[in-house]
Amino acid sequence: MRDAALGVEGTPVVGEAAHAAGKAPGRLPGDPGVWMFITADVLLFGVFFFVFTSGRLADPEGYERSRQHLDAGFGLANTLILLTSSWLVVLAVEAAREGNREHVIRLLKLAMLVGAAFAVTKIVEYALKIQAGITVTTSEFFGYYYGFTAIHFLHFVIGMGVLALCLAKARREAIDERYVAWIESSGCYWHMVDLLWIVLFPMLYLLRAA
Amino acid sequence: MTSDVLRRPATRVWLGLMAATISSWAIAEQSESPRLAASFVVLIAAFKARLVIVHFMELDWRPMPWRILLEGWTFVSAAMILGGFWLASP
Repeated sequence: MRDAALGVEGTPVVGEAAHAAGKAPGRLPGDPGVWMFITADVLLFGVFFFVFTSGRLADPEGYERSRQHLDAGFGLANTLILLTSSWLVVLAVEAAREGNREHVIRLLKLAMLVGAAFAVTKIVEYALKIQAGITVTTSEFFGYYYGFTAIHFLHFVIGMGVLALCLAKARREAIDERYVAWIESSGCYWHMVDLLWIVLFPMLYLLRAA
Repeated sequence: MTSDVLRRPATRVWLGLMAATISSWAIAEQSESPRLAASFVVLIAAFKARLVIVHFMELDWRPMPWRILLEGWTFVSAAMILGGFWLASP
């Protein structure tokens, strides 16, 4: 069912619906192995959400007093950054399905550049908090804030490593079906990093107590 | 490349996600009713999560139940966080 037409730069275009650069319906994107990691990670964070919610239920005033020391602007910036980086990775996956090496490389570089901004804002945010004397032991809220965001940051770093590997492979290898499976897997992991932050941001920064 | 990019479905989804994020932040910051604000904020987060799962991750209902798992996770997380918030509010 492979489309034998030639795409940009003469590289073969892969996939049944190559011109639309969409995934074939009914097919799991990427390698099944990455979905085991994604499942484990989202379940882990599900436990975090439960622990935080229980903690907040026991001391809503205390949590709110702590929450007021957070700057929602940082959380907002981080969310917008990760969403943009995810979008660029989606475009890179589509470019890979179209067999367009140049676009894959350009989009992955952009995705990583935008992603790097997340690290910068996170480090600045942590630095400002620590300077203000707010640390892991300041309160239960901040124990969870630092813990969850640090573990999320670890996932972010792994995700950046995975994207870097995709970029390296795009430079040296053929943009064929094997590469498409690789970049799809990497993309899904990166979207998971985004997905986790989509829940963390409102949970930590935006739920203002009544 | 740019005009082609602007026309892609992924770009429309991205713009929707950005708008939903900014709206969520604005509602949380400005709202006079914290309970209503929290409800909107959590529902918007669940909506955003779904957009990422369906359009960025491209999860179908076949061949394996990964979509059910992730959509279920989104629902349970949102219900738990919002439910906990309401229970904690006077």
